Amino acid sequence: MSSLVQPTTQDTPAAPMQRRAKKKSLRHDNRAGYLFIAPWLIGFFGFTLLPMAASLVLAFTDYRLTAAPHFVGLDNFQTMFLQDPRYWKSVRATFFYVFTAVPLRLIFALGLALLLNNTRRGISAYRAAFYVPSIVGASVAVAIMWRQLFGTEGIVNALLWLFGIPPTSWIGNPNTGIWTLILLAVWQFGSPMLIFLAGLKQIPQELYESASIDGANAWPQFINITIPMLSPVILFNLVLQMISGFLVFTQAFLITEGGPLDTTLFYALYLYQRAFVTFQMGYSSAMAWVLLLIIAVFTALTFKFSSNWVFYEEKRD
Amino acid sequence: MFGKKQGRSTFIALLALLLIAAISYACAPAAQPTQAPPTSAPAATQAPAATTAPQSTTASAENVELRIAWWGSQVRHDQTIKVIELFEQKYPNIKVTYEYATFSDYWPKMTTEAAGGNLPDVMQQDYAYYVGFVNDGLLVPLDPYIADGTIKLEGVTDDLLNGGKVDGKLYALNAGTNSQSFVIDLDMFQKAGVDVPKPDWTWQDFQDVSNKIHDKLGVFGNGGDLTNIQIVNCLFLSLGEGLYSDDGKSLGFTDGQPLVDYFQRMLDMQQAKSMISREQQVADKETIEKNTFTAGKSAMYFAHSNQVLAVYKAAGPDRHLKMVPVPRAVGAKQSANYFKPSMFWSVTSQAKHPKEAAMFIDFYTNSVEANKIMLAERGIPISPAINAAIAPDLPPAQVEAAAFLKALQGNVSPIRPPDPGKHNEITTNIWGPQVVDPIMYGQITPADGVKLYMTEANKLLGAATKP
Repeated sequence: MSSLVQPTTQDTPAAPMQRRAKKKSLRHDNRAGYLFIAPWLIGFFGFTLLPMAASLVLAFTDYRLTAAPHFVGLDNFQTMFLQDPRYWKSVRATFFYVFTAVPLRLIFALGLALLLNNTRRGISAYRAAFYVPSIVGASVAVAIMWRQLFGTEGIVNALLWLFGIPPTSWIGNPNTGIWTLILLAVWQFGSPMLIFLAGLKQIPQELYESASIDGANAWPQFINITIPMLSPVILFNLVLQMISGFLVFTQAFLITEGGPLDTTLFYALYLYQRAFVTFQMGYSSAMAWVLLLIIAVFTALTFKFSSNWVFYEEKRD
Repeated sequence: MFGKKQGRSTFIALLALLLIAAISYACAPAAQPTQAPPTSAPAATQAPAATTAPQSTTASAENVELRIAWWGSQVRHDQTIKVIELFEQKYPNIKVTYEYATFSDYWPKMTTEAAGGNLPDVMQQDYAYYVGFVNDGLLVPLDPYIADGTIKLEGVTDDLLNGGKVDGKLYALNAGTNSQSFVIDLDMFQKAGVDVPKPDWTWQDFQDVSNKIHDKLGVFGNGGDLTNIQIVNCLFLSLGEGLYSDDGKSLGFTDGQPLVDYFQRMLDMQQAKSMISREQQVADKETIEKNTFTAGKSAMYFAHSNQVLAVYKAAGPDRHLKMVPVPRAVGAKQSANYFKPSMFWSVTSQAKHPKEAAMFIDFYTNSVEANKIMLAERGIPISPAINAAIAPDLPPAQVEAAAFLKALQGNVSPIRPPDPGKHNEITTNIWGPQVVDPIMYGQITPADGVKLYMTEANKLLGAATKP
């Protein structure tokens, strides 16, 4: 222990304090701060930054875990873009998912947030109840339950049978497979809903009051007050949900395994298959970096065009 | 004033250090059980003494921690753990830690451990994987341990060992033999008035039987996934070819027509509803234990003979089941069946205690007590003495499996060389998603699918031979 403290005492001249000492002691305070967050720093550098750097290098190799990597230049990228039909299927499936599941989830979350934004008795119990699916939603158990619900002999088919509709393989049919996953995503609307709810509470009541005096009813109020006032929150939710949409993995991994006909072969799932089923770590590292670029581009575009529709109160006049 | 402040910051720094120390201590792996100084790594020099006199449990024998890994079902996990406990009783100086997983989780785990230089001492291996491990220098030859008597192979015939050899050296020891089969439901066959298939039946017969049973009973003629690449291998084997060429640098067949016919047959059966549809197959994700056959909704099911135990168990005691060989291609030259080491035991080059690892493999192979626990779960044991010893204890399913293999003797085709390293990539990326699914979902014709398969697979296999 004493040897560990040494660096601190060594740096501190025992001599009487001078003016510089104050600066120094400030620095010491910083050092203590860094020490306190050291566990996080070690985790960040050791388990995030370093592996990321390693994957950037590996993207240009044929690393397959059981043998030393060889440098292959741009081969991985070339195969990916020009010779791998499954890669493009995975890109297509992911984009389809992002551009359907994310807007649907946000619309659903906003709708419920509007309904729950009142002061009726017991409203907090309702809010909690509606938040539950997103707490359990990402779990393995729910994915497996979803499989059962939409299975050939699942509850959904049983219900439809009551209305005389013949059973279908929702998960096995290439036209419906991805929609079972989108439905699951929409059902997990809890966290954007909470954020919308917080945003709605920030909108000053006077705006609605003066609008009703001017004779505007619910719909014009929603379009002209709620949406603009909420737009920063919408942007925030949109960006967060879009990024997590691009990274979708668990549901497809557990429910559809990428099938049928690769219609739910999401980018992250295909990346996983290349990494841990066929052990092509170089290839999957290359895929990971392209995904990073895709997400960066779409996030940047969202921010760029946000100035057209996002309204910040402090910018008024 | 300054001094005081400085004292405080030193104090805070000290506190932070303490915190880190506490956290890193808490996060550190549990302390090793106190034992001999950890510097006793080169235990191998000491080990021979322990093995020549295994009964002597004198303190001189060094304490050794042996690591063993396998894949399998819950039955196998439970039985193997019992065998390990027996092994520990016999060698009190050896403490065994083990890891097990399902087949699909096992390989990511093992390859990751290999990358970290941390493979277990004893590793269960597969016919499709072990050559790749040998080529990467991850397995050691077992011949020295056979030569010095650590692993005893009394009465074991060469044909049971050859499947584990690379360049004449034995890297993987057969843990049990199996062959391919269809399990059939005798009651359904009888009710539908269909005869039990002859051993040399063809896929045409299979289709007829399936359709007839479906027409009469309304159940599926066959369940399970007939696009399993192992069945396709059998198909070509019956024509005197194989899935891959002997050198593994190309596919083993140049005429894709038998495969086109095979796919057409399956499409026809799917159309006639005598076979479960691809849609339902994808949706219901069948397993050995849970499928249309075990649920009593189909009359035939493909399984390897060592998996039949699980099928029988899941089907329940009321069903009358029987194993028959795999159908042959129309115009076949030989049997579609072959004897296969269902899995292997091997010692890794990263093993810390290779000698003790070999001792475990010997124990598994030759101990009567151990095999009375396993009861041929990994396939029929290679040692004739063990087979004789466990015969009275075998459960009905295993008796049937043993009889099935015995009946095949002298009437099977020779085993193909191990699958080339690209097998996994070809099956995962080409066969399943680009060939089977598009054909079975009716997006492309069987002819186009087979053509694509042959082109793409040959491309990968050819590319693999480049230095």
